[in-house]
Amino acid sequence: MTSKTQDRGQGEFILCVDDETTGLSVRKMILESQGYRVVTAENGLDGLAIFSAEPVDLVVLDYKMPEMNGDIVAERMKRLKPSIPILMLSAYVDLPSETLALVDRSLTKGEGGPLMMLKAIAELLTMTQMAKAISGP
Amino acid sequence: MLSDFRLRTTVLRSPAAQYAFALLVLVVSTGVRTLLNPILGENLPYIFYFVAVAVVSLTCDLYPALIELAGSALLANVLFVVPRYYFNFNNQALLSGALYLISGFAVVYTGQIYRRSVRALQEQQDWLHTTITSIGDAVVVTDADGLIRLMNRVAEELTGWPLTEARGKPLAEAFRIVNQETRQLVENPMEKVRRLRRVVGLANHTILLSKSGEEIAIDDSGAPIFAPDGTLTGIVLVFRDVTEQRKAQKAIAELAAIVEYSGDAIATKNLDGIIQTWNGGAEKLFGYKREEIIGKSITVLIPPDRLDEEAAILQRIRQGQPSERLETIRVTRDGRHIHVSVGVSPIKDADGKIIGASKVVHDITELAAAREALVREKELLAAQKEWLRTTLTSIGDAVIATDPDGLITLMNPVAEELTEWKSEEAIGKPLSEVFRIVKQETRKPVENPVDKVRRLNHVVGLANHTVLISRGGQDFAIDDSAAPIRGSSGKITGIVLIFRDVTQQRALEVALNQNERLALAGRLSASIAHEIHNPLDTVGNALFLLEQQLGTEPRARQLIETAQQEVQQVVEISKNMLSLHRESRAPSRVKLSELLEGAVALVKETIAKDRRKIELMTGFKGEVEAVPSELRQVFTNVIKNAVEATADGGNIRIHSEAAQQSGQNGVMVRVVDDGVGIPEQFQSRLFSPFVSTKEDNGTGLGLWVSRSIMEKHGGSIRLSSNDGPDTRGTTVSIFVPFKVKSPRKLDRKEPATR
Repeated sequence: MTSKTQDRGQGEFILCVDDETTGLSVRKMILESQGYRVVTAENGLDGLAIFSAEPVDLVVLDYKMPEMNGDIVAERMKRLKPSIPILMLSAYVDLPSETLALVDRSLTKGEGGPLMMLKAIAELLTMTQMAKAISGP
Repeated sequence: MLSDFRLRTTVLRSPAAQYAFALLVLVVSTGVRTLLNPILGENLPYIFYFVAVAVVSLTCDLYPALIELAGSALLANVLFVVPRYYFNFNNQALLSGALYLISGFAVVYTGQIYRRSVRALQEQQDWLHTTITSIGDAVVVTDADGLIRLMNRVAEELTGWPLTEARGKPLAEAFRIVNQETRQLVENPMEKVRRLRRVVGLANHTILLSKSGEEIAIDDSGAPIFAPDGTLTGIVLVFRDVTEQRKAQKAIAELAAIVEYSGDAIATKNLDGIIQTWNGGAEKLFGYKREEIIGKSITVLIPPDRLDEEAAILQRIRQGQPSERLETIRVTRDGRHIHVSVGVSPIKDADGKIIGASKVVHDITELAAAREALVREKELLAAQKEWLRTTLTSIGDAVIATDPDGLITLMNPVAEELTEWKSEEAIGKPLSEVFRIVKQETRKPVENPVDKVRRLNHVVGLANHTVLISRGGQDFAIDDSAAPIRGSSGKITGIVLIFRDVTQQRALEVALNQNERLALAGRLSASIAHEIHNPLDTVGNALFLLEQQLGTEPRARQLIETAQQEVQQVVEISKNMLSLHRESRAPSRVKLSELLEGAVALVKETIAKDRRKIELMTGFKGEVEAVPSELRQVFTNVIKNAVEATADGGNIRIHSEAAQQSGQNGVMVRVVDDGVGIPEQFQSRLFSPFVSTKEDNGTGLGLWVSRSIMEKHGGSIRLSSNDGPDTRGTTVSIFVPFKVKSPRKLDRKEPATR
């Protein structure tokens, strides 16, 4: 396990979408403990509503959800605000490549523990900031 | 009077007798005249001599009569003309003599004429009598009153009455006739003749009853005898015994009836082919009435193209041979052509001379139609047989037919191929000899389907997993059904067995099952993954948070770390398990070197830290057909192992080159390290699950999964290692075939004949 003090957030706004309530709330605690601001949604539609209304900096998206699967949500999100990074967290081991193409990063839930997730989030946010910086306002 | 016609001709036939008689008469009359001398004196010297001459003229011929005349003249002159006793020459005497002679001559003449006419009459009578007597028929002559006057011998015989008795009796007494059937008395013909005054015939079917009661069938006619003045003077009745005739007539009538009423057409013709007789059957068959066809040539019945038949028939007839029955076509009155069978035989007269021919003609239209139908049926049957044979030959499945006892009657080419028996050899043999079947797993014999059909009396399928063993000992997995063949009565007349080689099919089924199971497992796994990973994620997260809250407590932190590690282990296991049951993806062409480079890249960081070397040798440059992620997983796994093995130092080299294994072409990838090696006791179990030499970190699944993946690709993964002090190291050889083969290899031996 790598160090736990890296990958802290600077108050960025993260949207977590997952139909699993327990997982969602624990994830929220983790992220908030690392300095992020978190808002949650338990289904794709709610998630999309929040995403379009709020200044979200990153989305942590579950794949398998009832009513609307994560890939459809990702697709719509990308259409709305393509620059916002999406991290797909899935309980499934292998996702189809079409889905993977829709998101910026994909991780298996549980693999590598929370550290893996935090690292991925930090990297994504950094890259986005750098990209913003390069491309201008 | 006719009745007196039996005039007795006198004894005086011979001339001598007549002369003697004449002399006698002369003497007598002289004597009488002399005696009468005292009375007559000189008168009437010639008187008695007139009488004498008359008598002699009437009874004797001319010359005696003339002698009598001359003699009597002379005697009279001498004896009785005065002067007596000498010849008187005086005028008176001569004159009276001359007178006497002249008148005497007249008398003689008259007498002779009379005699002649009597004789003529007599002759006629005699002739008539002879005729009547000798005539074959019976003749009875009656007078005008119907009394019998004359009967000839035949009439005497038939009636049984001799003339002597019958003469003078009424006809009806001697001539009793009755009707043949009714036995009623028939009108006496004499009455009929008398009534009608013309020739009459008897009624038919008349029977004469003789005096003795005998019955004789007779035929007759009666005729009136008229005098010149037209009065009926008598009746002549002529009749004959027609018993034989009637018998013959009856026989003829019967024969004629047979011919007439025969269903067949029967006709006769003469040697020129002109129709002579024509029966009712012929009228019906040909439509010509008797009247219109008799006298015509028989060729009117023959169609023009068959006229030479007639010539041939006549030829044979002339030679006296009946023609053979000929089946041919004839033409009816209304122009229809009919199928007939014709038989012609010669007709001979009483001398055996051939005078014509009789034809019997059968209408064989129905027969011809039936024959045609039979021929058509035969053709149909043959066509059906041919169709059946063709079908069986071209059918893709094997067909064997047996009789009800299970002996083979038919085998089609596919059956010959599979069983390796030629049908000629197999026919007649019991099915079990040619069709040997066993259960796939146990190799125990399976119930013969023919026996099963016989037992159950309906269509059966073979048990599953049946294997046919050919004559040459080859195995074929087969699928089949047997069915009874029933005759029209419903009884089983045979059994037909149809089977096919399903070896490929079964392999496919197995693969499909496999895939299905895999798919199912995959789906199952996916949901399990979902169930497992969600909680695991949460547990990991919770431990993280817990860790933060626990601060510096070392034992607590230790425990938390352990827990975290275990969670990771579970995740790892889960991932590996799930990747095994992943829904199979289709292989694609991928550059092998790229996969290897990718795998090497994963461990480059780790390697670089320890200054170990990993070298990917340039080798195979081409493509293989594989599932890229899976193959990558294998390489990664093996390379990671090598990295682990050289953790304390060592080098890793990766080679790849084209190679052949088990008859396949592919690429051999060898990962060679000079690390710690693997002890021999572990080596055999390395590819089993949950076996690892890595103390803490290994899941023990890597090689197991890798082998599974390689098997799926039709390749292989092998390991050789040495942990001895001198040459340590491990070489893992991975064979990747160019083309992915189907999961289960077909283990059927290649038959030599195919």
